[in-house]
Amino acid sequence: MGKNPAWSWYIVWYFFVGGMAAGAYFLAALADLFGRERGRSVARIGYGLAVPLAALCPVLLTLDLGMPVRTFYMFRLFKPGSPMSVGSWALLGFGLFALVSLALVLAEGRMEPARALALGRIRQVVAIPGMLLGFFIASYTGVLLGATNRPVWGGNAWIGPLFIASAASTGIAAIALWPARARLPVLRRLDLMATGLEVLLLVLFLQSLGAGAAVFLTGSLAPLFWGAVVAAGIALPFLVQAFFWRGRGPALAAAVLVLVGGFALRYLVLLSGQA
Amino acid sequence: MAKAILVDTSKCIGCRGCQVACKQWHGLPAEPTRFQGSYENPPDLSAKTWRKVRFIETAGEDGRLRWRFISDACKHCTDASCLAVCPTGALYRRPWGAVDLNQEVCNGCRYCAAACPYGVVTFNEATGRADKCILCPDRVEAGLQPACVTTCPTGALTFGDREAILARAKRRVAALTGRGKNGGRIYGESELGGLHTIYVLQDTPATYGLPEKPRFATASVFSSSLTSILASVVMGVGALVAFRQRGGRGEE
Repeated sequence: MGKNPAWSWYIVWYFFVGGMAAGAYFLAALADLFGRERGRSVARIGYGLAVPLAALCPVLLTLDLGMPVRTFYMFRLFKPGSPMSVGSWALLGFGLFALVSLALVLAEGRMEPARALALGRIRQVVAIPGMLLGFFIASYTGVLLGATNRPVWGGNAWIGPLFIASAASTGIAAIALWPARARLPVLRRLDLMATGLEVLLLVLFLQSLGAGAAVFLTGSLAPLFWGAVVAAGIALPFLVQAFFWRGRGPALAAAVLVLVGGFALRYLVLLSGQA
Repeated sequence: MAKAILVDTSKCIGCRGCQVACKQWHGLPAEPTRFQGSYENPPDLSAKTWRKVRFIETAGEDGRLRWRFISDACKHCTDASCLAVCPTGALYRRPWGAVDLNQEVCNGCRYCAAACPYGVVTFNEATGRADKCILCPDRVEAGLQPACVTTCPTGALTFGDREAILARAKRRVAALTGRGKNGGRIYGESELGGLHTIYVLQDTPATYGLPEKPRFATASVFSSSLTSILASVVMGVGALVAFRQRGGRGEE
């Protein structure tokens, strides 16, 4: 058993903000690639959110270091076997791709249609590797936790995919916070799909823990798990999306609840391995 | 030539000379501690205590209390989890097997601490960096033995070429068994690719707080990556369907 790394609140926030940035970007990229006209606003808002959120990530990570002035030492080497090393480089790449995608979106608005169309093609080409980096950023933190010898995390293969589903749902919620877009039908369909995947992966994650799942289900973390992750983050927003999706107020409330649930999930997963 | 320490628990008397010699050589401060219900002290390996003797009380076959002692520190694994996960390269391997830690490079990310299967690597709050036993490279490369080994008064700690150390451990186990001293077994010959600390144990590894099957931290990266890629594909296809589906009422 390894010692408690005591990763702090900065890391909870990094998992949440990084996941949201990655989710917003890969959804924007998918909208860019497959959404045609219907995906336009999702793509624009998604890229727009990804850039500031991605910029916040290295700040949070640096603040958690024992030697913050040595944050650039993360780039002394590229170690393919170390999730943190690969993750550091991927975060750098992800930020650059998000920046380029947003710049292309902004430039398009100032051009005549013919040139804008050509620029859109370039943006779609950029979106492909950017999207892959987005999926990587969303999941590598879960892979990193698995590559330890701590309770709950050590050897667990389901945290990465769970974080992808959570990145998608929080990314969608962040896009839906744009009031005029809260009721976009495509966002609702995306949200239902991400929620379904998240529930499935949460079950697989808990099942893989065996008796260890008691920490979440009945132990000290149970109130937060059932209250914030399951009820506020999944069940309530699902009910809203299923029955009250035509109201702008309920749609915004659902988005806020999803963000609360997403944050609680990152907090609980980080805490469970450091209890 | 790979080196190793032999920890022969059957010869350890729990004097803690190794623990003190380590502190002296490396200039490590004392730790304020409290009585833990045992002569064992301090309670765990830490940034200030790189080697310590664990005092274990067990009941023997005759029902009488039995002391077990083990001099515990970094095992300098061949498949070293701390070294594998370290993003900066602060943790690195000496040609003779020691896992050394370059304080000039460590940036205090603490991944090594979480990855170590033995709970050895510790974050040093005072320096903002990791700390652990580095197997006295300054001494070993000058032809000396590690400080703990030089101090040990009973021969419970010995140091040398790993092959010779392993052979000595096997002779010792055979001798103990021959004398009817409840068997004894070797730990560290093949665990994690072979440790650079070989133990002669008189009891199960669990009795000494050693995991029977220590896990190499990054062994799960392949399966975690696979499940993550799968989830990404499902998400991508799901999004494709969501974007292409003919919408119902209210579709723009």
